[in-house]
Amino acid sequence: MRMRSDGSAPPTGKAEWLSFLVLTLIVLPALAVIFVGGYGFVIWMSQIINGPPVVKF
Amino acid sequence: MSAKQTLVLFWDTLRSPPTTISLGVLAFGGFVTGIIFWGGFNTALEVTNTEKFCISCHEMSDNVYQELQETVHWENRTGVRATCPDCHVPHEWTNKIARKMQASKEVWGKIFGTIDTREKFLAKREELARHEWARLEANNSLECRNCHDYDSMDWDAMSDEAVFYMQPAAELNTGCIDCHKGIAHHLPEPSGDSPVIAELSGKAARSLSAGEDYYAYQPVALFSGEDMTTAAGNLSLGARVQVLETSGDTVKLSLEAWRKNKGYGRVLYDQFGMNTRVAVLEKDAAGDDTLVNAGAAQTDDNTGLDWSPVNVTLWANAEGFVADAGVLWDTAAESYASGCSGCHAQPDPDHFTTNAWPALFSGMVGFTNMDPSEQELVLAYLQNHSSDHSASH
Repeated sequence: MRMRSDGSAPPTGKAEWLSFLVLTLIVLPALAVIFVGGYGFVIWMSQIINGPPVVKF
Repeated sequence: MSAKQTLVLFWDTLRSPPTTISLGVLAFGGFVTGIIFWGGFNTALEVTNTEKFCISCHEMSDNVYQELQETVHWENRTGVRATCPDCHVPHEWTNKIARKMQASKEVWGKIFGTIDTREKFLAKREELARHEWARLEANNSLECRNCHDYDSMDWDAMSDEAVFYMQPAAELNTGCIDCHKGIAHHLPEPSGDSPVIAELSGKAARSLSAGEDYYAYQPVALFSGEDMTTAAGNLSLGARVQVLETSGDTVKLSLEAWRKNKGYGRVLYDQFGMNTRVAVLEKDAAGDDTLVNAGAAQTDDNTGLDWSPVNVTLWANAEGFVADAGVLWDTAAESYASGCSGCHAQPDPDHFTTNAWPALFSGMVGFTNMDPSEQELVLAYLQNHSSDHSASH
């Protein structure tokens, strides 16, 4: 087993479940929203500089 | 346990293989929470894309939403209607997300009450409308065309008048918004008192004297006779006239100009071959030899058009003129500098020809907040100071 960064015992089942739920229910959804929102924000800023999107028919 | 210890434990747990949870449970748990998140994300996107959500702010429900209810996009014989997001939120994913982020500005405005009264809304309406017009002009009215399509138009079902306008537009593939502004909400009120014109009116000629030259600083209505009953047209901003006679508040004017010998010759220009408009006449006045005295035609080699010098004699009220063209051009030069330098260094007026300026100017002026009178004045300034009028080019 890999060395823990503070030399403590391996994580317990409780800590594993808690980490799993925090990761999948809070951290990753928040990252996804930030990523998509940031993408939208970048497009918005580019529209301020280049003008609104041009579509040819 | 301190916050740091908690984070360390969390990180350590994440970077080691699980000891008590099976791989199957982890994969299944990740899969299920992923589905729930994606569903929730799309639901949130859909909920914020409903009219109900839009009008949950009184800024929308009291203003634009009320106006929509008077129009064909609200109620019509086919029972199909457009809701707010149909026209105002891009349907394509990337631009939709960008628009959703832009809405943070609307949340900001809601919190700080940017348009929380009818008066504030009316004062901002033109600016807001211009944003939407610019967007629809750039994307060639994409949101309109999500429903309306030239190819699906049945010309036989249209009135003759509709076909007359719509068919040429279809051939040119003209964007809907180019003509159909103000169809779902009221148009911005033309702000009658343009600040620039108001400033010039402070410098207007108090009284006009016979034999002197004057320059129009606002559109001046022209009449065919001294009785001032028959409208003959309008002088454009910057037009130079000579006062022949004055009687009370009315003056008899002489305008030296050129016209293209094409159509009714209603539009008068400053000089031979130069598209600097100085007046637009009514059809009857333009064809009246007693009012419009035309000289021998000359052909403009650039365009092959015949131009004739004209001397026009008409009547007008003795207001709307300045005695010194310098006053006009100084004011216009100031507007030009402040309107254009917001984005780029403005070119010198003599960088382009008189006939090149109108297209250049109309291509850019949408980015400024010049009102229509100011636009006309600035264009007149640019055309009168173009390379055609300058010795250096």
